[in-house]
Order: sequence, then C-alpha cells, then structure tokens
Amino acid sequence: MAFLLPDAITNLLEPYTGHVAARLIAWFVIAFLLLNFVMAVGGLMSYIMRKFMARVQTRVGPNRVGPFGLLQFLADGVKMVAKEEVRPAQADKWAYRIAPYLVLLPIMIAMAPLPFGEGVLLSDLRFGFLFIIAVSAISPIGELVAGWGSNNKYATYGAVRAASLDVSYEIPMVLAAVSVVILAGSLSTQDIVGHQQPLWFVFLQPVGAFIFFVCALAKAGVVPTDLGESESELIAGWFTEYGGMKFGMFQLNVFFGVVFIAMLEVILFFGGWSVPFVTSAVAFNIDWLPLLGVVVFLAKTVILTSMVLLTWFTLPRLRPDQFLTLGWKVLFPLALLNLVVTAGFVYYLGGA
Amino acid sequence: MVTPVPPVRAPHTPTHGAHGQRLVMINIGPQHPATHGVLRLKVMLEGEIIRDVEPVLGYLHRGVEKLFEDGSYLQAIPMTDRLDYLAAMHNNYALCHSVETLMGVSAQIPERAQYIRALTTEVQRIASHLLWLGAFALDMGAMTVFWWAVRDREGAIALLERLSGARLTYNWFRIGGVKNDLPPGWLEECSRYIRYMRTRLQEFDNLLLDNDIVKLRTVGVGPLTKEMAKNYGCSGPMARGSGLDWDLRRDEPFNPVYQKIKWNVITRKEGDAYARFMCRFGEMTESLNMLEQMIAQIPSEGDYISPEIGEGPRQHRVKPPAGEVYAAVEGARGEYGCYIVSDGTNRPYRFKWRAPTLHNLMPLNEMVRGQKIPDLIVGLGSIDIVLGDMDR
Amino acid sequence: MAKGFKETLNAFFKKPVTVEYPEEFRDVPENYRGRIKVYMDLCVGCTTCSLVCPNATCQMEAVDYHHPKNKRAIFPRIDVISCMYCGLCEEACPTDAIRLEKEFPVSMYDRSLFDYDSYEISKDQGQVDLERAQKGGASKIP
Repeated sequence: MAFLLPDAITNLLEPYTGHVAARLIAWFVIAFLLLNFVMAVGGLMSYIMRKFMARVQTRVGPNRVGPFGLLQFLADGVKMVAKEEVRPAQADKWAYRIAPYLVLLPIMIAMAPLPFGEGVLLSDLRFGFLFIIAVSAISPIGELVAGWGSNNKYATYGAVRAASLDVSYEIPMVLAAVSVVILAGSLSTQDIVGHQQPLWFVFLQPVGAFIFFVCALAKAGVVPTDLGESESELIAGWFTEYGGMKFGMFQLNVFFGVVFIAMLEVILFFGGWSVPFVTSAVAFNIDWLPLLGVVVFLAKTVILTSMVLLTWFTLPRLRPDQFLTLGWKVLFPLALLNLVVTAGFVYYLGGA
Repeated sequence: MVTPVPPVRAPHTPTHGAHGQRLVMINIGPQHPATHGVLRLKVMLEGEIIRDVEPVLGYLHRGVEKLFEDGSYLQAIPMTDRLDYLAAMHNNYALCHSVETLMGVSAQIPERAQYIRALTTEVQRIASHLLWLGAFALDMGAMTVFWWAVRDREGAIALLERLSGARLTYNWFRIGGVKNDLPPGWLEECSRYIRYMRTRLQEFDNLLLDNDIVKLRTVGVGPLTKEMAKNYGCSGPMARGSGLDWDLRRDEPFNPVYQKIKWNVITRKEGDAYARFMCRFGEMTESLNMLEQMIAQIPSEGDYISPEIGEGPRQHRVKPPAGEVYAAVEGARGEYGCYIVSDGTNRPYRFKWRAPTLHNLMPLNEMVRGQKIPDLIVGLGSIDIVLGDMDR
Repeated sequence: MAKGFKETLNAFFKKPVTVEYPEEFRDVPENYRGRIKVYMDLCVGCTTCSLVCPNATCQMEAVDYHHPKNKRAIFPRIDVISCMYCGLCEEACPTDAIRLEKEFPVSMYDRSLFDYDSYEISKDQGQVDLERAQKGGASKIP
C-alpha cells in the first residue's frame, strides 16, 4: 500500500477543482516541498558538517547563534542573500546566471524516486534508479558552464578538473550499482530495497559497496576528491567568481550532495528502510510500520553521512591525474569484474 | 592616449610550448591561501604542466635593514623579531651572535646563559616546525592536522611566553646572554611538554606518515639535487633533505652546548618533498631528545647574561669595535646570518640580513618544471617560506 | 591509512580545547607584555624610556602635574597602537614607573583615539573608556 503524495493531494482536491487542476496543484505543492526540503537539509547539513569538523579538530564549532549554534545556517543564508553579487564584466551573462541552477536542480529532481520508508516516496517510477543516475549526470555540465562563464583562468581549471572527475567516476559508480540492480532484478528503488529484506546487499557485494562509496565521494565534491574546489590551490575552483546566494547554491549542492550520496548508498547497499529481523511480511502493526521504516532509514543515513564526513576531514587531497588514474585503472576494472561475477552468480543460482 | 605596455617577462621565460601553442600565464597571486604570505608566482602553463615559475618578491618589503641603522643594537633586537616571525628567537640569536663575534666576547658568555639559549632555540624550532606541518597538510587538503598542530604549538608558545611575556615577538636574547633568568618551574613545565609532544608526534605519525595519499602527493615532487642545493646556497632542512650534510650547530658551532649533548643530524638522500617532510619531522623528535639532555645538564647556578656587558639600558650603549663580521646560527628554516659593518659607535653602519628563505626559494623554478600545479603548491609548502624573512 | 581514521575518530570524542572568549580568559603569565601604563607618581622624567624606544613612539610631554621627584614635570606619552610592546622601556626605567601590564583588550573605533596623552597612559583602559564617555576626555589627575 503505497502512500504517494501526488495521488493523495489529487484525491483531496479533485472534488473541488477537477482532475487536471488538482494534478497541477499537486505537482506545484510537491515541487515546493521538495525545494524547501533540499534547501533545509542542505543548510542543516552545513551546520552539522561544521560541528563535526570542529569536534574532529578538537574545537567547538558554531555555538553563538541560537542554542548550540543551530541557527547558524539561517544566519549564513540571510547573509548570502543580502550580499552584492559581483558579476565579472566580461563573464558570459547567461552562462554565469544559469550555472547554479544547472548544478543544483538535478540533485533536487533526483530525490523524487528515493524511498524513505515502505511506500513513502514521491513517485514510484518503474525505472527509478535509472532516473536518478541520468538526472544527476547533468551536474557536470553545470560545473563546466560555471567555470567557463566566469572568464577566469582559475575557474576554468577548476571546472575542467571537476567535470572530468565527475564524468570519470560516474562509470564505476553506475557499474557498482548495476550489480545491485542485477541482484534485485528491477530498476525501481522500491523493489531494490524490497529485495534486501533477509540480507542487505552490502554483505553480498562488499566490493561494490566500497567502490560506490569512493565514487560517490567524487560526485559530492568532498575531499579527498574535491579537485574542482581545491581550496588551497585554486581558491575556490569553478565557483571562484560567484558571490552571494549563487555561491550559497553551490555550497548547498555540496552539503546536500553529502546527504544524497549517503541516502543512495543506504538504499542500494544497506537495506533502505528495512529493519533487521523485521520484514514487511510480519503484519503486527501495519499502520506505523512505514513510519518506523522512515526512522530507520534516517538513522542509517546519519551513520553513513558520518562516515563520509570522517573521510572528508581525515584524508588529504589527491592530485587530479592520480585521481583519474585511480578511477580508470583501478576502480573501473574492479567494478566491471564485480558486475561480471555478480551476473554469473545470478545466472547460475537464480535459475536459468 | 596611454600606450599599452606589454607584459614584462624575464628574457628566458618560455612563451610557447613544444608544439608551438601559446602558454597560459596564471598568477598564483599575492593573495592566495597557499603562498604562506604575499608572494606572487607567475606560472607559465601548458595545460596543467608547469613550464616556468617566476617568483615576484617584495610585497612585504619594509626596509628593515635601513631601519636598523636608526637605532642601537639593543633597539634592533625587537626589529629582528619581525623578520622571520614564526621563529623569532632564532632571529634574535643571529643578531646577538653576530655582535658578540664582532666584539670577541663569545667566550665570556656564562655557561648557564648558553644552556638557556640552547633550550630556547630548540623549543622555538619545535614550534616553528609544528606550524609548518600544519600549513603543509592544509596545502594538501587535510584540514584537521592544521588545527592539531596549532594546538600543540600553543604548548611551546606558552613556555616561551612564560620566559619573555610575549607569544610571537619575544625580544628576549641580549648581547652576551638573555634578558632574564628562567622563571621557577619552567624546567618542569618543559619536561611535561616534552612528554606530551612525544605522544602527539606519534599521532601525527599515524595520521600523516604512513598515509598513502600523502606519499602519492609528496614523493617525487620538487626534486632538488645535491648540486643544485649547493649552487643556490640552500640551507636547513631543505638542503639536508637533498643529502647535503650541513648543520651549523655541528659544523660552525655557535653554542658550545651542542657539543656536550648527543644528537643526530637528520639527512635524506632523495631531495623531494617527502624527504624534506621527513627531515623536519625527524628534527622535531631530535629537538625533543636534545631538550631532555639539556634540562638534565643545565647548571642550577649561574648568570644569565655576561656581567661585563651588563643588562638593561647598558645594552643600549654597547659599542663594538669598528670592523665587519658575518656570523650565522642554525634556525628553523636554515642559516640565519647577519653581516654587520660597525663604525665603532653604538649604531650599526650597515646591517645585512641573510634570509635563509630567499636562498631556499630560488630553486623553485627548476624544482617544479614539468610537474603540475598541485605539485607546485606542495613543493612550495615543503620549502617552508616566511615572507617576513624573504622580503625583509 | 586506517590508522589515520582511528586518530580522527578518537579526536572526535575528546573535549574541545577552545577557550571561549570573552566568557573565559586564558591565564597570562606575570611578565606578560600587555597594555603599557605609566605610574606618574614614580616617574622622575629621566627620558631614558623615550631614548630607548625603537620606533620613537614614547615621547616626553610637559604637563601640569608636579611631584617632588619629577622636577622638570615631563612625563611620557605613548600612542598605544604605534607601540610595539617590546618592553625595552620597561627594562630601561630606573624607577619602575613605566610598565607593561597584563591587560590586553583595548579597542577603539578610530585610530586617532589611540594617541593617549600622559594622563590617559597612566590609567587602566577601563578607566580611560569611562572618563572619555562620561567627561569627554580623561581627567587631568592620574
């Protein structure tokens, strides 16, 4: 029994406004909620990241604005909106303006098929996973546009590095995830989680999980892989020339990306919303089981996010060519091998 | 009508690559998170490969050498603090050592004063290397190490603060000794700091030394051969990382305490950034060993300054005989030297400061040619420059 | 590389070392070279401090304050931000009249406000702020 928000809203409004209008309003509400959710989570994540970073470095982190510094991200947001955005005179006007959206929107749209609980998701696509991968592949284009449109050598260097990295690391990531898809037998994210009831895929695919983790770090723009934004080398890489809220959007992309990849990894490898030893076939209280699923999913995301953050603050940055070497010469063959072996197992054991 | 001025380039700077394409000139500009101060590097790039690096200096030039001529040797001591501000005690020591050599009173410095000087020098070396370690890791992207290094440096700075009253610009060495005696309890605090630092160095070891990524970033980066080091006049850990076995504490002793304790000079053969990294790390451990021995050997009674020269305002009237002298001490970054021309009054006629950082920076062009931009940053970090010292 | 993770994880659970200024202060040692202060009752007007000052910040000023030790009635005046806090004047003073105290927070809105005269330099910073706010200037008594 799936709880789909668009359908619920449509059903609610249909008696009053008719089907088409109700559908439109439903979509509008969904988009609004999604946008706000992503912004809020991104902002909150920036606060959590700063606190985490501070604790790892034995300092305190934000603690002045609001209780325990919780309102810090709101204060940052207000500051960024109030800032003057200086556009370089020779920058390509439309490229400069459109780049933040090109980078941030795909990741927002890709949130749609992610299941938070059993049936708690925005759209139950049959090819949900393919949708996520395809849509989040638009981000490198945004990075290139941002770097090129800034008319700045630093930005161009950063953009080329970041885009080449993103594109190179898509492939092992997708291959690792496709092994999971083969095991689950379906592209729908609901089904992928559903197939993990007895045993999470991380036990069946440890290599895949590791490869996915490393590649996802690259997509999120996190050290050891934040070559586009190598702070001490190229100041801010491909978003050097951006100020105010446009810069804020790039930062949101990074912070939300951390949560996003954690969620993806949880869904693909760590069982999504399934609680160990409790399957959805056990019907002891169907009403709140999805809610329990959501709580479990969020808890697992928190743990995975902590792992990503710990990696961020422990390891130094790799050089771009070393990083691409790692991607193409180590991770790609490994992922390919993983895929072939998985496919072979499924063929022989799953019945021809 | 203003005629456009073509960009100034040194005559040997390549402007076209091997295939005839124009090279990109990028400014690793005066303001940059990684240049340890205001240093401008004009980098000619072919794609991401560096073809030429031209450092442009002078952004922090304050005319210090001319300012020295305005006042006496005592008044020059606080000004030397501001040269290499991360290792200020070493600068003070260089000046005092030069004046004492010119006056010929080096033998009259009491033994306790020599021990105090050596203790302070080694503590300052640890503090300076710690900050270098933090900045080096920060250049590579490991932000955590920077904060840990600065926290540990607080311990060393607190020790020096108890001595002199200031955290960065100590103004503590005097001609013939030091400004005041060690306060009570300083030696115990120092021993406690040594014990604390040994565990901390072990933690840095775990985090950085065995790290594959650090090795990937630093091994083979910025190779400096022994011949190049000798020709450019490099000194300190930069030269010792290339196999040049030269340490002023042993080879041109400026303090007899170094002959009385057992210690090793850390050298490496490879000459890349990793070798220099290991050199400085090893030097920190050696300094801890040296400190322990000095604390055990320091005489409990004695003067902290030569009584013939005197302390306080009598230092203002110190008149070295007319003549010239060059003397140097081994500081954190290399050979800190002073060339003083005296005309018999209490003011120097000419005071030239040999900045170790300037000599160490010069091989940068040859070191990073053919490597990439991140290698330039790591190589520059491994040279350990301080702009106050370089530009004076 | 795994050892590095162990270190960062350990550090996560340690207590932070931050001293939260301005609620907490770090202890400074006795000989800390903080704000410069002149005890006018001890000053004999020998001008040694102004002779030894490396950047000629310490200048003598004739003021209308008399006490038997200081026949010429001249006292040092110092521009608090031009002073480099080297402590040479403190070392040189024969009567221990000029000292660098342990106080360090001094802040103003304008650079020119830092140019203290002989009376202001003899008061604590809190008193200077108070007198400037209340009376529009430091009182003519130390």
